[in-house]
Parts: sequence; C-alpha cells; structure tokens
Amino acid sequence: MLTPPELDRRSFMKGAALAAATAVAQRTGTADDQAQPAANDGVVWNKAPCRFCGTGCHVQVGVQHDRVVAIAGDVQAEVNKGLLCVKGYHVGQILYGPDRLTTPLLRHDGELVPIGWDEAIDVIAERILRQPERFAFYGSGQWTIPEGYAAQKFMKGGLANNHIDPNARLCMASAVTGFLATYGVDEPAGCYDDLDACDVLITWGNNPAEMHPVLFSRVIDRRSRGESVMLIDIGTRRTRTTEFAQHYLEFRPHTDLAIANGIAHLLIRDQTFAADFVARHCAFRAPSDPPTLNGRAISFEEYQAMVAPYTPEYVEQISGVPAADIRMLAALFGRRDLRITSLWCMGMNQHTAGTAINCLVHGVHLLSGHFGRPGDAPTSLTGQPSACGTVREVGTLAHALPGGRLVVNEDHRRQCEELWNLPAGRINPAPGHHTVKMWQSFCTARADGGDIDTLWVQVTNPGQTLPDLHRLFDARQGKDDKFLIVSDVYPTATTALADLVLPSAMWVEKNGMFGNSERRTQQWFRQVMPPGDARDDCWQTIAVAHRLFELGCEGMQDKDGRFLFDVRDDSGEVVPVWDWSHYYNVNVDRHLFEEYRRFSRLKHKDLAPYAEYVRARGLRWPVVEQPDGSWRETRFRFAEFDDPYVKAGSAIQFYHSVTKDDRAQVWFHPYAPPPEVPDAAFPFWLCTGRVLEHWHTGSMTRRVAPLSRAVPRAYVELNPDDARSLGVHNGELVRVESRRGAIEVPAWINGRGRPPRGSVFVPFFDERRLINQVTLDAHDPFSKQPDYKKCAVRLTRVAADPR
Amino acid sequence: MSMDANDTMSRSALPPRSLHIVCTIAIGVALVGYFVGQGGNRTRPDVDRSAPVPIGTAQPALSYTELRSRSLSPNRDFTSDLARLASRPVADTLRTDLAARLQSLADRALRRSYNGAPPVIPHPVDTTSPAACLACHGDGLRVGERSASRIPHDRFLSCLQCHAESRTGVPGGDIPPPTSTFVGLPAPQSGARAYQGAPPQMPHTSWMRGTCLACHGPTGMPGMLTSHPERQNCRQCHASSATLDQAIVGSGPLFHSANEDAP
Repeated sequence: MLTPPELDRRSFMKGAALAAATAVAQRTGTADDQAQPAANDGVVWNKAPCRFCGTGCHVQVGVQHDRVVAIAGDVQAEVNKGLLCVKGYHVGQILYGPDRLTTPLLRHDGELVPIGWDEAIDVIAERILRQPERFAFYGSGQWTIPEGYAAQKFMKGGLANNHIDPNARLCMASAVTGFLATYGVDEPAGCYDDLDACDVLITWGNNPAEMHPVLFSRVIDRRSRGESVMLIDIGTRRTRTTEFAQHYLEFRPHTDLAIANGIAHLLIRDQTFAADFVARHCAFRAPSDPPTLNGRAISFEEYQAMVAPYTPEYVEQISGVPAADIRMLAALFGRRDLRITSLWCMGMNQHTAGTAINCLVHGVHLLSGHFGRPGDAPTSLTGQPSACGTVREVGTLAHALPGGRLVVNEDHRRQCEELWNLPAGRINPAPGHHTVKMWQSFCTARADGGDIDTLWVQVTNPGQTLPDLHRLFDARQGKDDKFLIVSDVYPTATTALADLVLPSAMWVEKNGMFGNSERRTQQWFRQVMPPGDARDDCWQTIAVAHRLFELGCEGMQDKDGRFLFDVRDDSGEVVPVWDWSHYYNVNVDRHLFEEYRRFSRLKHKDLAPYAEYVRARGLRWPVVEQPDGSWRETRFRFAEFDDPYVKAGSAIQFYHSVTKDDRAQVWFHPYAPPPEVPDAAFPFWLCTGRVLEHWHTGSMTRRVAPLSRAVPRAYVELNPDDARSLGVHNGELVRVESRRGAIEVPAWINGRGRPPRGSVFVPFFDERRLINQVTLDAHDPFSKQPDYKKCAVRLTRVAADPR
Repeated sequence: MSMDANDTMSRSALPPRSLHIVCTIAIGVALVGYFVGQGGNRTRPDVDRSAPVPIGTAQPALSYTELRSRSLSPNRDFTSDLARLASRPVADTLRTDLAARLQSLADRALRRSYNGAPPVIPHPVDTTSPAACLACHGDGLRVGERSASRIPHDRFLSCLQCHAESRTGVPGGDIPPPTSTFVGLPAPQSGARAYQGAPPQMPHTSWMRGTCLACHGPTGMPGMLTSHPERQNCRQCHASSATLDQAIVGSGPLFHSANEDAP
C-alpha cells in the first residue's frame, strides 16, 4: 500500500519525466517533422569494378528509379579498401552525357542517318560474308572478358581470320613481351600486397600519384601511420609523384636502359648481387641476330662482360643521372634486408625498346634477389580495366589464342579446336595484323595493297589514340571501298569517320567481368537499363555471328552443325540469345566465362567458376580448388609459400621457364638511341600522357563536370627557360609541330608537371586538339607497341590569347 | 637650469649684451630639452612596462573582419587569397533551424555531384602538399564570415586524389563545363527517429565522415550543429546505418543479388 507522500512523489516524478520528454520532443521535433524523409530510401546498392584504369578498384553503385544516383568506395574491396580517386567517385556520371548514342546510324550521302538494328546487323554480316578475309576486328582492354572472348571465338574460331587486335597493343604489349622473355609466361608474379610491405618503391617513368592514385596512396599513406617508405622517382619530368619522392632521378628520354645496366654492373662488380638466388633460379640472355623474342643464351661471364662498360660515369654521360645516384640505386638493390618494389606503366611500355627495358628491370630484381618475397617485386601496371583480363588472358591479339596460346603453335590450335568443338584445321596458323599494320592496311587503297576493307571497332577510340593519326586514321577518308563500323557510347573522333555507328551499353548497363593489373578477375551485374536502343557489345558480336550462321557461313557452325554461341538453359533448350529480347533470359556472361575458363589451366592461370566471382570482390589467379571445395586465390606467383604450383622445397620455381629448367632469364640489352631525336629543325622532346582527372581520350570524363572543370583542355607543359627563349608567356598559344603534324595548344609554365629544358608534355585526352597527329608510329620490334613518349617537335608562339 | 638663469638675472644688474647671451643660451637649452622630452625616451630605464595600461587609452588592434577593408600602408597593394574564396555563412547558433539547414544543404550540394561525393576544392591550389591543406582544414578555421571546414576523415597524404580542383591553372580554362543528365542522390535533410524524442540516427555513412564535429561542431554549417557539443561519444546515442556503412558481413556478400543468374 502506498502512503500519500509516496503517491505524491511518484506522480510528481512521472509528470516531470513526461514534461521533459515532451520538451525534448518539441525542441528536436520542430525541424525534423517538416523535413522530408531520408533521401536514401529506395536506393539499391551493388558492387562493380570502376570503369576506368587498370587498378581495379571496386565501387558500390547506388541505383534509384533505374538511374545511378551515387557512388561509394567499396570498403570490402582489398584493392582500394573503400577509397577511390576523383574519377572513381564520379564514375556514375559517365552514363549521363546528353549526347549518348541511342540508335544505329548508317552513312548515306555523307550523313549518318538512323536505321534499325536488323538492318545494321544485315549490313555487317553481308560485308563480312562477301570477303571474310578482308575483315578485321579492333577491340579493347576495356572489353569485358566475355565480350573479348566472344570476339576472339567469332574471329579465330568462326571466320578463321586472325585480324583481331586490341588497343592494348598501344598500352601494354611491351610488358607482355617482357614477361614472356623473362619468365616464359605473362603477367606479374607479385600483387598490390607488395605495396603494403615494400621499404623502397621505385617508379620507372611512372606517375602513379595521377595515373594510379589509389595504389599510390596505398603506399604513401603508410607514412602517416609512422612507417617509412622510400620513394625513388626515375623520370623525365617532375610530376605529382616527384613531390612525395626522396630521390628524383631525371634521365634523358630513352636512356633508362643505361640506368638498369648501370645497376646490374655495380651489383656484379661489388659482388652484392644475390649469388645464391641467381645460381638456383636464373639464366642469362642477350639479343640474337636476327633479333628474336627469346634471344640467345649466354653465360654469367658473358653477361658480366656485357654490362661492364656501364660504369656509373658512363651511365651519367648517357642518361644525365649523376653517377652518385646510380651508386645509390645499386647500393639499395645490394641490400637483401630491404624490400624493393618497382612500378611502371606507359613510360617503359610505350618505348621503341619497350621489351628490352621491361626485361632489364625484371633482370635487376632477379639479379639482386628482390623477387618472390612480399614487398620485393617488379610489377607492371596497366592503364585499362581489363587489359590483363580480356587482352592478355583471353588473348585477343593477332598472334594469340585463349589462355596464353599462340596461333603459330599447332598443339595450341588443336586444343582450341577441341575446346570449341571445331573441325580440325579451322584455326588459321598465320598471325593476323597487329594494330599499326591493321590500320595501315585499312587506310591503304585496295589497289595499293591495303588488304583490310571492313573494320569493326568496339569499346575504343582509335581516331584519337592511334599514333601519327594523319597516316593511320585520317587517310581512310575518300576511300569509298573501305567500311568502318564503330560500336560506342558517345560520338568520338572515331565515329566521325564511321560508316556505321552502333550504340552500345556501357559499364553497369550490362553484365561484365574485368581483369585488373594484379591478376584479379572481377564480376558485376547489370544495374540500370541502357538508354534508347543501345545494346551490349557482346550481343552485337553474337547477333552478327548468328546472321552469318543464317546466311550459311560455315564457320559459324561447330563440327556438329551447332551455332558457335550455342547457349542453353537449364532444361537444355536453346536460348535465342542473338535476339535482343531474349539476351537477358540467361546470363550470357556466365555461359561464356564457364566455357572460357577451361582454357585457363594450360599456363596455370586457373579461374574459378563464375559464382565465386559473384561472391568476391575479385579473385587473383591461379584460383585453385581446395579439398574442402573452396577456391583459393594466389597472391605471390612462383613463390613456394603461396603458389600451390611450386614444387615443395624449391622456394622459387619459374615453372613456365622458356628454358624448361625452372629458371628465369636475366637479360642484357644495350642502350641504343631512339629512332627520332631532337635536332636543329625539331629541337624539343615531346612526351604525351594522361592527367589525373581524365581517362584516355576523355570521351567519358570530359562529360563529367567536376572533372572537366578541373582540366578543361589540353595544354603544353613548358620549361620556364625554354618559354623565355621562345618569348612565350603562360597561357599563350603555341604551335607544337613534328614532321608528321601540328596542333596549337596554350602553354602552361610551372604547371602540374615540370619538364626539364628541351622537353615538353601534352596530354592526349582533348578531342579538339589531337596530339597524336604529331606523334610517330615507330614501334618496338617484338611487341609492336608504338612510342608515344618521345618524338622531336618544334614550338612556335602563335598568339597571346588561347581563345 | 632655466630657473638658475632667471635667478641670476633678477639678482645682479648685468649689461644688456650679457643678458642677451644668457637669454639665448637659456632659450636654446629649454628648446632642446623640450624636443628631447617630446620625442620620448625609448631607452629610459625607469619605465615600468608591466604596469597595466589604463582602460580606453590603448591603440585598438584591427579585427580580422576589418583586415580586408583597411589599407595598411606597407601592404596596401596586397590582395589576400582569402578575398577570392567564396564566403559561406558561419553558424553562430546551436539552435536547430530548418531554413538554415536547407540553405546549408543547398550550399553543400553545390560542391558535390551527389551526396557522399568528396567535395571539390572551391579555391585555387598552388601547393599540393598535405601540410598545405591541413594548415586550414586540419582543425577547421573561421576568418570573418569565411570558414574552412575541418577534415572529417583520417589524414591521408594525397588530398588531390579524391578532391577535384574546381579551378586549376590550365590556361584558357574558363570553358563552360559539360552538361549532363546525371541527377545525384540528394543529401538527407534529417536522420530517422525510432519515435518522437528518440535521438536521430545517422542518415549518412560514417565511412570517411567519422569526425562528427567536423560538420556538426563549431566550424560546421548553420542548421547542422549539435545542440550538445559537450558530449564526446556521438555514437553512444546516434546509431549508424549498417547499409550505408557497408557493414553487414554474413554468409554471403553484401549488396549482391540473391540469384547469381539475375541480370
């Protein structure tokens, strides 16, 4: 029983509490009650790899009402751990430029006029059927893996035509030949985990602070956690990366070969090379006559004699890098207690001696034993999201077949014919045209020997990226017997000269898979519908293949008479995937990937079933099935502690060695001057490249306001002393002219990058000022990759006002 | 000394010539003394500098708000970069004010493509070192009606990796930006409450936005400030969103369609 005073106290307390609660509710409620509900309602999030570079960050895509409305860094992704770069954060906007291509366009009397898809597919099929051997397919490191695989099978398995090559030829072909010549098999042994473990990071002609920003901050942010990371920037101009470097070694263009040889010389002279590692795991090679990719075997003594002339003083004389800095590099490589990672990308690949310099940098790491431990790795980066996955692994190159196979190898052809269920002998044993040759043939009249008449371009923009554009692209004009087909998402420099333009779905408007720089295969689902009549590139290929099949093209049948892209549902019924309305009835990506996966075992690049990639934020091959049925990825290839294919007890095993003895090749290549050097008439070096805000030809990033506002146009970076002697002020219009062409761009003095005297830099993203009209098409003898990093130009002041 | 001269003059009757000389000397000495006294004696040892200055007699210092308008002679032609920054209202009150909040959200949206995008840098950047960014944005800064927001996330070293410059030094860079049909996710106007009076939940991710006071504290924007900045442990009462924080880890991955074959 409650006494009256107790009652009073209880009711008082209750009343007070109520009053307080009401007061709080009123205070905080006033504003919120009028505010709208949270804007996050109805947003569906799903994973996708970023559309841009080869880093392979994962993003979370926020979709509301069938439109991408937001992007977030994926915190579960090992690559980027929730971070992105300026481009990645704005990747969702690339879908929404107002000038998306939404209907097929055919050129009639000089004008592109809308047509239906049926007619477009007919036009292509008829042209191919007429002369299949004069047809070529120009693809991309931005092709998804299934897209590239479908094109590969269509060309080499279906048409028995090897004229298929990708834009990645312009981007990382020298890295491939470097890996093949050194290890006998393509792609890096290390991975991004090396960036978490290295003590020294050496960037060879590389500016990851702008080009691979997420990887760069993965290394550099270690400093803010109290770790010490030494960054050595070996470059030809000062960049944002240089700002973070302890050492900046500025070399004369092309002389990186001398620097690498100089390090090797000191390692041997000072006996600081890893004698035990070399004795167990390495052999030596030098160029042969005539030159071949695998050269000739040499002894250690011969190698020693070949690098002996590259004394620090001689290297300084060639490269301009002080002898003391060469000794500093050699001293670092001579220390086994340090972990050293080398990074490179276009600087070493877009190089007329690209294969050579790739081999030499691998050689320095092998010779010094800085290989096979976390943090000790020579790692090449790629510029495109699936240069590795689609081009190097699927083998969409003129000489390659899926899974590291070659068209010239009879066993490889037979294996592919068996896996594709084709009649024996279907695959053409002669390599097709590589990129430069393909475009040269297309731009040459039939009467003059041009043997490509019809060219289909998917997911790339060669009208802006080919070197020496006047010769390799513009020359197509006026040749009416030539026919250019372009599948793209926006009007570009390439569609401008196209006869047939096909509107494509892009990125999360379609299912896809990419393979990034660290052997990581990634998967995503379609999340929004493409605009208008835009359709998947993969469907376009299959639709053309089926039209050819209907027209009786024998190549489109396997040896049992079934269509090349025979896709069946769970009940065994054929799904008419060539009909767009049925294309998404099944997951065509999954069907193609499961078929392709069977090719991946030959070179121990094992891929897991599609479903594993759905669960993961990408997996690094070889992905090997475990006894418990799970799938395990591999971080460090050739190293016993992580790679299941290394024989127990061997520590390191190069199991695809070209010499079949588990050894990697340490190469010697001499320094030789590049094909074009500045002279009295053209006194400046020209280097081209990218900037942080724009990706490749800018067809996507130039349509994103925050990116375009930051860097709205191309410019020429100029040394202040050169500007003074030319009488050029900052912002004044300058004509950059080579023997091949000229463009006019404003000068940026003391801008973002700072070239030394006698050297200029122009970015290539600007469609209105095509620097590739100036570059030259000289290319590496093995990789056929052109050199966009150096040619000779002259500069003249045009006018004060760039507008 | 002048008193001595007068005394002499009064006591004895000296000839007028001597009187003139004495007077001249006396006046001269007085004048010198006067000007020396007027000039002040900077080296005088007996001045007590620690003594308090009487109220109202000290020369007033310029306030920061006056700095831009007053022309100080040695730096008269100096123009501060500050003047080129967009001004943005500074929150002076901790009151919840919907109108102010909506205005702040609108201002905020001008620098972001969608809610969650890293803001673009609204001012020119001539030094890209992280120290340069942290000088103002490390702890946040208020100068007059301009404020530099405090970084709400861990200190990374490559600021320009994520934050795009809205103006770079690219010559002829005043080309109009491209148009786009992209419509970004708007910022939420408030957090959901479980019931009236419950503390609002965080309507945004706490990933990269873990320093709550960066936006909800003194250098934050009007209408967004906490009414109780003295409380240190925000997440004690304000729940974060597992969805937005990508925090759900279960048997399957987050954000995946259930059916792997789903288009």
